Amino acid sequence: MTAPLVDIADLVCIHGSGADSLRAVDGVSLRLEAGQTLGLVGESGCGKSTLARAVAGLMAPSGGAVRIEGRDWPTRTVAQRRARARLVQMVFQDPFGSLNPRLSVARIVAEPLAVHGIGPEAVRQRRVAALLDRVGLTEEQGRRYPHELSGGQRQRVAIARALALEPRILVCDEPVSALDVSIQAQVLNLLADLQREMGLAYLFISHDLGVIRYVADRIAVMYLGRIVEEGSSDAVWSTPRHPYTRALIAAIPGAGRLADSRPTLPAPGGRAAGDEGCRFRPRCPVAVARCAQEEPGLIGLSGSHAAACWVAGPPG
Amino acid sequence: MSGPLLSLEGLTVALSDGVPLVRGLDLAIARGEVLAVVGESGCGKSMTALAVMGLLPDGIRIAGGALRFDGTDLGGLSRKRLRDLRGRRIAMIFQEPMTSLNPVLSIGEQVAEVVLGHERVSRRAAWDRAREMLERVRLPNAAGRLHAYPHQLSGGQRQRVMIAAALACGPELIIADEPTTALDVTIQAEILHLLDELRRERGLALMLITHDLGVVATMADRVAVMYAGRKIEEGPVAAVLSAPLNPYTRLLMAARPDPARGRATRLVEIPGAVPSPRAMPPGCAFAPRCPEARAACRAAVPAWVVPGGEAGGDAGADAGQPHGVACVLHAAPTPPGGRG
Repeated sequence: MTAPLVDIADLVCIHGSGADSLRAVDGVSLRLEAGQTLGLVGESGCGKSTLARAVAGLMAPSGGAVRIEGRDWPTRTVAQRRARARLVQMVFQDPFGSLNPRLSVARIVAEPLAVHGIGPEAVRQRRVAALLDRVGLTEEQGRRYPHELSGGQRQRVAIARALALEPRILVCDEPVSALDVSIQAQVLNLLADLQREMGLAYLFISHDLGVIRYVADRIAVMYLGRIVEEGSSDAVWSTPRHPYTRALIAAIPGAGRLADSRPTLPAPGGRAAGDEGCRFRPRCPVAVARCAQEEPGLIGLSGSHAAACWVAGPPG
Repeated sequence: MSGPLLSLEGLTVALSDGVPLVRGLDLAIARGEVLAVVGESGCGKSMTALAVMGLLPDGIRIAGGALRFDGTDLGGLSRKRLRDLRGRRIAMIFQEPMTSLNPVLSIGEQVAEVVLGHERVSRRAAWDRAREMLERVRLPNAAGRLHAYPHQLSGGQRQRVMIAAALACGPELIIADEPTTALDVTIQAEILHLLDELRRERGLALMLITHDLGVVATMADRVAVMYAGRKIEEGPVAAVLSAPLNPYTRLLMAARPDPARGRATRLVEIPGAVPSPRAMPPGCAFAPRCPEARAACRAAVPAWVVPGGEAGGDAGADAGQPHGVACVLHAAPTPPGGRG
């Protein structure tokens, strides 16, 4: 059996220290196969962006490992960070905040090539021109500055820059959340085309299960630092087993009139120190006694579909 | 039959140099009705809401048309009467409660201030009302948290406080501008449910401004679709979403990822981007992006037409609610003599 492209093993990421520390990622194991999309969905504060940064090598994990191509990629030295950057790149939600406003679009896309010392200037220019063309930007737009572009065009610039080093993996953190629907479709289609042509693997993060369902081969649902359900996109969407996944699906507006679908989830609650039980229990409509005593890990259901729930059980 | 609660008649909102952001908009909301105004950034939906509330930012003004509330032309009212109307009979809820709540006032004060600003009541009575309203919007432990500050609450709780402040003086109309866009999906569902419950309970009219067609389908009776400052389609929600007349409405629906379809289909793209108000194309503003555009689209702004006639072609509860569109594909065969 070959190792997956990305193997996240019992990853722990802690923000801060001492009494104020927060276990943003609290023991997550996930795999991403080459050329595939793993969709990670969850609400604000669930730790999905921290997980994204750890996979991209922008944050050192506090425990566990992110293995890529079967090995660890430490990020202690500049050379190590560069090696990792050539494998994994990141696309953020707000391209305006992640693009240098004083550089032209072409310079922004060329920068990773310059930093990594790739080719003489002429080679870099040809590469930049090809990248801009590939993401649907004109040569003229390459001479503009970020503020002169629309939100969708800026996200194309961010994608072109991320592709400059020809990575195998793109970590996309809410890449279309700030965009209008018509522009969102352009960017999602572009990402799909790039994946097919370049064999890219995506870790695609969103709060929007509709978008995740559209892009992902597999879906992982994250809640307060843990994966509570994981499976093929079809399995998680069609037969969600964890009560949190069910609530997320039920909450998508447009499925029906409000009068027919009263929300069932009480407000989110924190987790008291020393609480050994399931972290979803305070909001859970189906919790039983065992849920207060012992936190469930991912329990296999059918095929490769798993849920961290004592009640879910196998479908049937 | 009584007239609409709020009507906009040819409303034009423009920058100080005359560049229009909203162009000749006609809209009407009946008592107890939910009208969704939907569109993408730059379509003018938020400017419309701010114009009704008298909250247009500096450098943007109402340049034409009329606003009527309960039959009264707002243009003829004194500043004092206007101020009293806005806040008491018409209230507004914004997308981001953190920026529209006052960070240095406790949540009890925020709601009590609204009451004191519009009614001759004692501070004690205003605080009682604040507590009652915060309990009504199901803010957890409301009575014990009257002295909490906005930053001590979650996003969903802050939105509940803003709804409580909006409700405090018993308005007849609430204008909600993307009220759930900044919230998580499970919280969004709770807030939408609360708004729906409140408007049924109080017979409120709701003007719901959103970019999300899912929210429209869930909440609204009627929907108006805007593009580049103009209304391009309007009708009962079921009719517009099941049989959109304007290609823009149809594309907007097809561009959304549909979870039921999974990955099988490629999303429909709308090429290009919304035009800048300073560089509006001639004729129909959507024509440069429209797959069905023809020469006539660029010749003149399409007239407003109701293909099934004013009575509407829809059966049942929607009968009598016209489904109209501004698009040459539906233009009357004879030159239109009406408005537009």
